[in-house]
Amino acid sequence: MNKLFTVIKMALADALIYRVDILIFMLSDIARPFVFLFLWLAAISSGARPPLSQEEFVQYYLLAMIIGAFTMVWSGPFISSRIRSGRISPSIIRPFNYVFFDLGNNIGEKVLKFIYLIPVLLLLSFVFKPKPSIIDFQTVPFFVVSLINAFLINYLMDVCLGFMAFWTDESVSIRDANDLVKYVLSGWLFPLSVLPLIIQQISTLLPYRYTLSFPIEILMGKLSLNELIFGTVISTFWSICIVLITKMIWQKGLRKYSAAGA
Amino acid sequence: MNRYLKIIFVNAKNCLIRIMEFRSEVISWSVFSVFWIFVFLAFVNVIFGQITAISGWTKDQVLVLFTVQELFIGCMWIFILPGVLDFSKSISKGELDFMLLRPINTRFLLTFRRFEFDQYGRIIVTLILLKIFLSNLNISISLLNVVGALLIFVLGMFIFYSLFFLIATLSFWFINLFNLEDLLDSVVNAGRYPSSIYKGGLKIVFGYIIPLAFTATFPTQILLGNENPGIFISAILIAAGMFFVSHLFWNFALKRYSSASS
Repeated sequence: MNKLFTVIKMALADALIYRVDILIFMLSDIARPFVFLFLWLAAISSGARPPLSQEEFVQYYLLAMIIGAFTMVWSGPFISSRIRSGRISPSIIRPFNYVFFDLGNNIGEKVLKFIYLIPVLLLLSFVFKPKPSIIDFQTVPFFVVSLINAFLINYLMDVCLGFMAFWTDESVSIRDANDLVKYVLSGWLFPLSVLPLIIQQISTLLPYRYTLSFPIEILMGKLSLNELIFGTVISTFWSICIVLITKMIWQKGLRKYSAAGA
Repeated sequence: MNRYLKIIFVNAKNCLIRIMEFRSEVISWSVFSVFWIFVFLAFVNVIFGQITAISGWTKDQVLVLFTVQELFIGCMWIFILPGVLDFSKSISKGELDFMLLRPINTRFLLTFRRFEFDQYGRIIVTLILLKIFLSNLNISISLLNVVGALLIFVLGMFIFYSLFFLIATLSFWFINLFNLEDLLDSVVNAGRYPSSIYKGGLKIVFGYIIPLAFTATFPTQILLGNENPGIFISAILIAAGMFFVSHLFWNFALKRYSSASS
């Protein structure tokens, strides 16, 4: 644990050096929900009657910015390039050694991003007046669990895609295809409740919804107890799956890697 | 002048040849961007589920605008952005000194150094889609409209070239400005929809500082017959103004440039 804290502190110090870059990253991270919010507001003022009200749309996209900031990941391509250039060799001893390092970098940068994000959120809330997110005390543990699962699934999915570099060399990769599906099914582009029913049903079974939409839905207070329990079970199931899959891919990839050279 | 034109052609030819060597990559990337386009088109359908128009734009008009923006993005990525991005990276790599020593205008060299034609598949598909959506509208489009739209389109490219070059020039001070691509992405994302959806203070930002309307909204309006001579005048003024400012800044930056060696 101490090691993780040290890595996080290092990453935060790094982030402060690149503070303009981090600011630009933060702004571009929230660009998509920002634009879609305006699109929906324009649609509503032109007469649309979607399943969410205007305040709820504002609430949804602001929450998406926050939860998205929590769960965002970017280490995958770096892992891939390290594998291809052979630079992971020193870290082969324990896989969770350098995944640790990326984790520290992820959390460290996020601290700065959150500092930048808060004034933006305050400004947007002030201008657009979202519906306030008030939840009961008993929903809080569900939310915390869902947030942890969301981060775990997102992070390890990214790591696994990074590990694909053990096998392939392409640039248009499975990663891009996965991003496409992820953006749609996680509710990053549109809230899942405005999408066709069949898409909603598919997304309930796949892990993507639990990386973003599920925590948001909990905070919006729209889930019944049954739905909360069901969702938590599935999101935990996917969490466990992804941990096991990551370990497996790492071991298989390592075998292939050492077979090639050493 | 002839010398400069020749240089552009030689550069373009080289880039084209290089792309032909990686043909499968070009194809898979084109196929993939088509998927992205279709996802967004599906989303447009969801938004227009119950209404006929958003901020005065009907669904078919929005589809045309969306494809025009795709065209704009594709053209920017082929002709303009590779050069500008290389420029900002070459400062931190210390290559700028070599550029400055060459016997031709440095800014010209930096701008036209690299074209990336691998987006051409995307352009072809976008043009096909544009033709389809235009025919859905059942209006007659005169040659004058097309020429006018093209003119604004090219002026828009010029405006944004100047804007991004201006931002890239900041690399003289913030040596680590490596994430211009993300900034570009967010800006072009914002331009996919009619610029009338941005209200209030944002209208000023997206109207005058980052004049989004010139990328797709204005060209589409002119193409569809909604002429307004004011657009041409403001386009020329803003283009000239932007170029002038970016050139002033470029010269200012050069004077204060402390290179890697001297």
